[in-house]
Amino acid sequence: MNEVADYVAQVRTALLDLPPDVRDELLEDLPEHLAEVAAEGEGSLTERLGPPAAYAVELRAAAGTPSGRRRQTTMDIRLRDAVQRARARLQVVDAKSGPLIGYRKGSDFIRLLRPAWWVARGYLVAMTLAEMNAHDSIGLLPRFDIGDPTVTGVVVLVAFVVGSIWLGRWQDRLARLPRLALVASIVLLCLPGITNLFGVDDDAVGSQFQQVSDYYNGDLDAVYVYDKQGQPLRDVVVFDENGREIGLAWPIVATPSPEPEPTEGIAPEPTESAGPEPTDSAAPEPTDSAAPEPTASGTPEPTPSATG
Amino acid sequence: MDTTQLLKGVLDLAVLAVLKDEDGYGYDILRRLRAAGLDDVGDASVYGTLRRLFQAGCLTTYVVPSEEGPHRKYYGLNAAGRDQLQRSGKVWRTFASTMDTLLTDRGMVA
Repeated sequence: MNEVADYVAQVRTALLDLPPDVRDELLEDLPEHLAEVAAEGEGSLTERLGPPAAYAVELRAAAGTPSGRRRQTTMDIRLRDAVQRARARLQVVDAKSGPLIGYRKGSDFIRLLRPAWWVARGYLVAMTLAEMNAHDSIGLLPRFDIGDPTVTGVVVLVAFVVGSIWLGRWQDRLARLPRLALVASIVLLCLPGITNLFGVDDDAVGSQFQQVSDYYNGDLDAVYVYDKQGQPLRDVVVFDENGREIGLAWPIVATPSPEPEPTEGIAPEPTESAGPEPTDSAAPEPTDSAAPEPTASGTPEPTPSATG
Repeated sequence: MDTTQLLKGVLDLAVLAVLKDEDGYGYDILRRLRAAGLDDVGDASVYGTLRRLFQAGCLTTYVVPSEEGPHRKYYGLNAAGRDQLQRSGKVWRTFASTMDTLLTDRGMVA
């Protein structure tokens, strides 16, 4: 008898402040009793017995259960009150925020955004999976090491977004608890994808040049290369530890040169005293013993164009 | 004067009294009380009183299967219940006659 179970449940809720054993004892026979009542007459239980809350009050009095306990808040009650207060506050925020953006309630607008969230979460979950699979940064597509990673990335992305939209329409059919569990796990799955977005943004902002100059506390504007005799080396290409050419080397060979531009990818092979010496007097005087000390007082300023 | 306030004090006695000659189930007991003139008795009061009297050891219970409808839980007086009925009945009688005399002496009639 569904009506009876419902009525009993509401009476139980109204008696939540009682100690559990007292409450259970009090309600032990109530389902059977109400079933008898329901079998004996016309009309719903609420019509014949009044609302469950009123029934609970009368029951409480008749059974001699102290009703003064209501203010002696137990954990149950405190929690329930807190939830109710929070919900009431949220409803106020909801109602007040709506008109600011031209809607009746803020939640009306947020509900419109649900499909956008479905698309976004499809992307983020795909990125999370790709990132778990990848060894280093995967950029902005969920690339996998299958075939052409970029093509795979696009295919996976579309599949996940479509799947997420489909799931979004379907998940409303779930009961409350499974739906909450589903949404919570999706949000968790989105987190690595969001972290990846920050990583990609970080890479886009930081440049190679800044990273090189960081080694020199940011003071590095130009690089001058000399041989042991203090002769400036020309047509030199500087490589980093990964074999990549460091662009900073370019301006120093920008002085007039008969030779062709250095080709990329060649290991540096400094040639001794090739070509005419720069006539610029500002070049540092070579010392016998060692390489020039650019950081000392005689900072070389060969050409005004030598910028990083 | 609100009858429900008076009922609180004597509902135990009333329930014990209607069970004196014949066992009954919850809704049946309610009907007996109302038939006796206690129209204001609520179902929750009867159920709560039965629970309390049972806890106090005044009642025995047994379930009677029903052909149609749910099984019925019958309540009956045990020795403690009959004893309780005797004592409470006496207290009420004395109290009621005292009140009666008090009011009759001052010319008040029902």
